[in-house]
Amino acid sequence: MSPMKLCVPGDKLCSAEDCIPGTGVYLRHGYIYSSLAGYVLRKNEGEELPVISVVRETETQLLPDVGAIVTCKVTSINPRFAKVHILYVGSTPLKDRFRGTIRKEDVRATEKDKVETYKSFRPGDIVLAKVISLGDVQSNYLLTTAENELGVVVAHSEAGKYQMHNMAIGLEALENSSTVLHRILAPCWTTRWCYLMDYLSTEKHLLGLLLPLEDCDNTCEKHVSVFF
Amino acid sequence: MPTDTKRVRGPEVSQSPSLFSCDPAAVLPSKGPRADGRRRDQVDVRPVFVRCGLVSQAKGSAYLEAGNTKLMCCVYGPRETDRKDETNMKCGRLTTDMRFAPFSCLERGSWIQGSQDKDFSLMLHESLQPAICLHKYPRSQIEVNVMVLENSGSVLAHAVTCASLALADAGIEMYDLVLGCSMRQDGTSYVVDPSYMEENCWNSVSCENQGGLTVAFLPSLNQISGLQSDGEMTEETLTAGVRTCIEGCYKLYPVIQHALTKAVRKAAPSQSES
Repeated sequence: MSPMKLCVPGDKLCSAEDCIPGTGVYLRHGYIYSSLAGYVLRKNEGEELPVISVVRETETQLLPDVGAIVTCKVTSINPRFAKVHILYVGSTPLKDRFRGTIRKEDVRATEKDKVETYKSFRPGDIVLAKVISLGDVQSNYLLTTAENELGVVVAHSEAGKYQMHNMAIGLEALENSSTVLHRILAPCWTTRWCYLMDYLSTEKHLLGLLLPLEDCDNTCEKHVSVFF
Repeated sequence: MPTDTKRVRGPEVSQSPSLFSCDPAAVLPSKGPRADGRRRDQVDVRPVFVRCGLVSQAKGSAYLEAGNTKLMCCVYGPRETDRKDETNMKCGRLTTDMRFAPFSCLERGSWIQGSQDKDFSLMLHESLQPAICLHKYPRSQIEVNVMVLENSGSVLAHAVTCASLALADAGIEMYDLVLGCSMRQDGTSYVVDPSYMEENCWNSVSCENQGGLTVAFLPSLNQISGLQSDGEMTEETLTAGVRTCIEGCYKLYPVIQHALTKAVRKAAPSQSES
């Protein structure tokens, strides 16, 4: 493979007739210029023209965008809405926390008026939500959990142990058992993977992606024994 | 006027010793060679040393040395905006802050921001804003902090260059790099990239053209994003001065490009796609 070319912002890469602009570039007066300092990538995607983009090896700063699935943590609840801190966009962690709001009517799709926020969320819950709006001047990002794959993934029960909502793995056995659990599985329906969660620490919750959901069956003992 | 309340001022009849110290050579010869060996009336900028990525806590950072002028810049962001008083949330916001360390100038300054610092911060903001693709960062704030460690002339020009380097190092999308260059007109001759003495010593014989000029330039797009001048100059002198500064910026461009590519290569030594 030919060595990758480096570029700085403002470098003229090629004409718009040769390539299609991808990420990290902009189009001006019929030419494609770079907007980042990084490596130039030309990819042939099967269409007539290759796509040219500039990448830096450091993870691209993703901002929560409308329609993105985000992982957030509930910070406070209110009869009308719940405030959350957005921690991950997709599977990339964010360096700085962004704030979001889940309104009462966005918690579920059915029976929206009968929702009680303190029964749906608790402070400290990890929630998978979707961004519906960037919000206006006063409000934060607006999120919704009114879909099948979204909702609370990890919650703290009154007994002090983590319990899962939306889980296929039998929880009661985990709750009542006297064995100390260090790590817990949480299936994510959106990405169809099973996440390993660090049960003892509240911050570093998503330790990694483990196995595709189809490989996990419904018995919890098998998984518990594998992971702690 | 912000005062330093922690200093002991002494009895009321006392006066500052700096009143009695004799002034160093107040008037620089306007014809002879310059103090550091560079030529007059030529675009002779000081050799520049730049490095990116020296501050690990910041998203991007850069350090620049030009002669004795030393400054560093840190960039943080995009972060969530603290203040929600902007009516337009569709694009991001740029915050610039330029500070002089108390030990940077000949006379000790204070850590409290004076009016000159705020002035420079505003000019830095004006020069950098056209170059950043703010529409790609809605509801976010990008903070640029410049700290001048030693002020030895043409600080604003070098701050602009250093800030745009730090922004590129942080991975913030920009239309182009912003380079700064300044010059000082002294009668019929001019000096490019003046040192502190050349900048501040005004010729007592008031000739027609006396003034300084700083230009912030986008080399690839061939646009000027910032222009600051003081003194009195005729129109032709000003336009010739702007052209001179643009030439000075072009001289600086390869050095900046090299420093950026070096930083990118250091961050990711692999030549293949990730």
